Order: sequence, then structure tokens, then C-alpha cells
Amino acid sequence: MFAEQRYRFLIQQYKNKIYTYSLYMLKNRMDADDVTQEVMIRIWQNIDKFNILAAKTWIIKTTNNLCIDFLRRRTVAVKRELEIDEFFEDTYSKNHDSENPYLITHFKMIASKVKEAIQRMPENLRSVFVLYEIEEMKYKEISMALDLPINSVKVYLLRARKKLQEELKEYGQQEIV
Amino acid sequence: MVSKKSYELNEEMLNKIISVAYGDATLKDEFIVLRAAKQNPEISKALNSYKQTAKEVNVLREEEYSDDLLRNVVRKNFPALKNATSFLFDFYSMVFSRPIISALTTIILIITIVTTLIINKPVQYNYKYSETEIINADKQARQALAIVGRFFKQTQSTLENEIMGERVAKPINEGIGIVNNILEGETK
Repeated sequence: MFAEQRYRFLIQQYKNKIYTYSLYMLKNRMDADDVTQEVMIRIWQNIDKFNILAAKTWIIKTTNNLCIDFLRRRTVAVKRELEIDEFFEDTYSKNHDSENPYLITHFKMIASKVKEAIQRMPENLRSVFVLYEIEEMKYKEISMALDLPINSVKVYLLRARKKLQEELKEYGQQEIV
Repeated sequence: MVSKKSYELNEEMLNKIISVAYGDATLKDEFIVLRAAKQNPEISKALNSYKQTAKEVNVLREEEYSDDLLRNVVRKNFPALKNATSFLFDFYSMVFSRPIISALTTIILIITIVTTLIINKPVQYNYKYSETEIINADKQARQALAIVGRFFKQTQSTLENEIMGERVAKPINEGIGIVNNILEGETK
């Protein structure tokens, strides 16, 4: 009986984290859906094997492994890459109360560009960046989830921030013009 | 004295600028960067640029996995879960998903345990009695017991000699005598 409650709790708690990570890693809504569903099944299969309070690392690790599998399996022929705006919800604009259409459009454009820039990062930098900046995980948790030393996590994060800055520089210059 | 070199925009300074912009630098680094930014416009420009990006990144939130999708997944893969009771789930969610409630519960539990331990702590006497004190205490106890014994003896003799004879046996004898006289009068 408790297994069901644990499962429901874990799913409610982590469904968005799993989905967000998959979406950023796979750049495809359908694949992200598939990975999220697969992770949910694995959580159910292993529900009695892990401590509910330490489940976060296990779940992100499983999600990361599945994303890597998906990326490896994906061939050029069946590549279903869409433009980023098509599969990301407007989570950025939702966070602003402004009713000014110009500002809303402006925020949407910036959010879209930032998301695109994150997507263009190399896989290893992207995973660390998404887990730290968007999923708000700690260095130690990321280190455990991705099987990386903490120092590597810090270095990857620094590189990712630099990379993002470079990517956005061009957009900023365009906007000024 | 701070050397001019510390205000240069080198790789080390850039790393510090990034940490400051994203809000995870140490106080020392923050001080160094802010000071350098005042001295060197190039550093100031880089700092502002990274701060702007950090601000844009910080507003990004997790993507929402819709409840409809979740329901489909559950219906397809775990049909038994549909009718699961929600009380325990609600309890789980309440305790574990809100750190403040977990923290409060823990604090209340700890306070209760500590208070109980302090209140019910057994009293311990560490005083060591000397040989003379023990002998004296023994002597005093014997005297006290002797006094009590004497009282008991006195009470016993008072009961036997005064109360039982005078107050109990005598009235009973008189009563029986009266009853005899009455009975004798009736027979005559």
C-alpha cells in the first residue's frame, strides 16, 4: 500500500524535473515524453529499492542515462528536430505580470534565445548547466547524478556560462542594431 | 597595497566575474570584482554583461509536464494506481514536500524528547558517607525503633489491662447479669 503513496509522491515531486531535463537534452518534445514515461516506469519497478529522501539523484541519473541512450540511437534519418519555440512552453513569459505586449514579446524572444543557446551547448556542459541553473540542484547532487567529480561539475558549469555568454553576445548586438 | 595587475581582465578575473554575476561567489571574490570594476571599465562592462545573462537565465523555470499526459501514462502502465487512496499521499506530500513542515516536526520532536529526558532524569547522590556517620545513623535508627517498640508495648498493656477489662468485659458482664435477672423473674 505504501509503495503506491511513495510512487505518487515521487511522480508529483519530480515529473517536471525529469521532463525539463529530457527536453533540454533531447531537443524534442516526443522523445522527452518517451523518456519521462520510461523513467516513471523504472521508478515504479524500483520503488522499494531506494530511499524516498535520496530519490532525486537516482531519478536524475536514470533520466540522464536514458537521454544518452536516446541520443545514441537517434539517426539522421529519423531526426525529428523542431525549432525550439515549437516545443518549449512559454514558461518565461508566464513569470512576468506585465501586460505590455511589447514587453511580453521582448521577454519571449529573450527566453527563446536563451533556450536556443542552451540547446547549442555541448552535451556535457548542457547537462550540468540545466541541472544547476534550471533544476536548482547542488554541486554534490549533480556530481552523484552524472558520475562526475565535483571539480569537473564546477569547471563544466563555468564553461557553460562562458559559452552561453558568447552565444547571446551576437543576439545582443543584433538587438542594439 | 593592491597592484595594478589585480585590476586586469585576465582569465582568473573573468571566472570571478562570472561567479559574482551568477550570485555564487565568495564574499572575498565579490569584493575583489566590485573593486576592480570601479577601477577598470572593461571589467565593469563584462560584469554587467554577465549579470544581464544571469538575470535572463534565472527567470527560466522548469517545463510543466501536463497532468493529462501523466494520467495517460498512469492509466496505460499502472491501472491499479487509479483508485489509490489519497490520504497517505497527502500526508507524504505535506511532510516531505514542504521543508518547513519537516523542520518544524523535527524541532518539536527534539524539544519533546529533551524535555522528557530532563524532567524524568533520576536523582543521583554522589555524597559518600563516612564510617562514623553510618554507625551514628544505625544507632539513631535503633533508638527510633526502640521508642516505637516501647509505644507498642504500652499500647498493648493499656488495651489488655484497662480497656478490655474495664470498658469491654465489665459492661458485657453487667448486661448479661441484667438479662439473667429478667429471665429469672419471668420464670417465677
